[in-house]
Amino acid sequence: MDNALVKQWQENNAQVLERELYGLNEESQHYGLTLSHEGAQALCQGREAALVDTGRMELGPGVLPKIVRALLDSPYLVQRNYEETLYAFQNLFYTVKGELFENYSDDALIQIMVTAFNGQCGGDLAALSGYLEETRCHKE
Amino acid sequence: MPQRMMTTTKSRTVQTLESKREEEERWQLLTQLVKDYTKGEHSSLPVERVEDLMASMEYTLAQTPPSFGPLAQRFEAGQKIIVVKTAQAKKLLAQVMVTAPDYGTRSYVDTLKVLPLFFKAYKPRFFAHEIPCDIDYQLAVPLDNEALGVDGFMDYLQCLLWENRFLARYDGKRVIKILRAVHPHYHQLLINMALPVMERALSRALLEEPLWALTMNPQLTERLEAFHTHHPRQEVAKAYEIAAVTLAQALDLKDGEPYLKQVAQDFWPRAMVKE
Repeated sequence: MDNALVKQWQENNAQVLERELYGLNEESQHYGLTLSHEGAQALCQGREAALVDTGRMELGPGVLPKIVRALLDSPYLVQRNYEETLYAFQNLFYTVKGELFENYSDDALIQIMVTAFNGQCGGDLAALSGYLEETRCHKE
Repeated sequence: MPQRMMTTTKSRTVQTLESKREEEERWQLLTQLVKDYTKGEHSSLPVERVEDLMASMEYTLAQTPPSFGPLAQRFEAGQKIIVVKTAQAKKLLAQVMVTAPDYGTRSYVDTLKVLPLFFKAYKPRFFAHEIPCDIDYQLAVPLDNEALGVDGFMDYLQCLLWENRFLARYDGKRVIKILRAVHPHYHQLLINMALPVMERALSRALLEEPLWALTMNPQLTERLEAFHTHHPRQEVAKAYEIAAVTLAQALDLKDGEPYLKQVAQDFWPRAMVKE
């Protein structure tokens, strides 16, 4: 695939995503959460890096807006850790998607992750990572 | 700015905009294809899978000329053409099956069993460029155009059909004799069955011997060797080319003339080395 073309496409995608993420602030403000321009930008860059690291490609705005919406009412999410948590959650999503949950739809995987994050993992992303690995091993 | 230069600059700008618009259309089409492929359930895919979908899309688009219209329209038209070609390939395969000789090698028989699986496994919507069956049997002249998808499959079938028709021109017992001369257990080998017969027939055509027979007795072999020895290479090459034309005409297989010429071209340098 033409790398320059892919890069250009990713950049266009990132701009659309950035706008969409920033637009989500209207919803997230009800939960006391706001994403800064820099935060949205960092998330887009993180998404790109995570996709490269996991050898995946995303066409369209991708999964990030869904992740944001699914996490808005998390009891473990506060303004202080909002951007940082989204960033790490997104990374974890792409990692486990490729390695462990390829056959799960995005919605199903997000639901598994969010339920565990809010529940038994107590908002701890390292614990969530371990939980996902264990869950997948048991299913195999 | 001079008028001519202004026109050139303007036309370049239009070209750039056109190509940018086409690239955007391409990405939109690919995005839609990914969405359809994942049934909207996965926003990301492994890069290799996206590359496959892209190759399939390009293969489908190549079925129609660029002037056809918007890319999405071209894509759908290309899909329709592929469906028609797939139906044609089915008919071609039926002809291959009917004409298949009953003394086939293992790889030939195995390939005949595998070929119908193409139609079961072929997914033109997303993987139109693939040939989803393992074809072991090698043709006398390997396909060099590397055509993809149903086009590549049809090219293979067309050659195989022609080889079948060539072999059918000869008595099966004579063919088996030649194949046994290649190897007593020829049917276990991954060899092409038509090639040794074609080479023998070409040798006889070159010597202007009757073409219904396939024997090469010591006298004929000696004459052939003498011909190779006493003629410059260019003349030998030309003589084999003429032999290919003669053979195709004699067997009433004019459509296979280029195929036989290619076999002859590959054969004569080897025939000279044998000596």
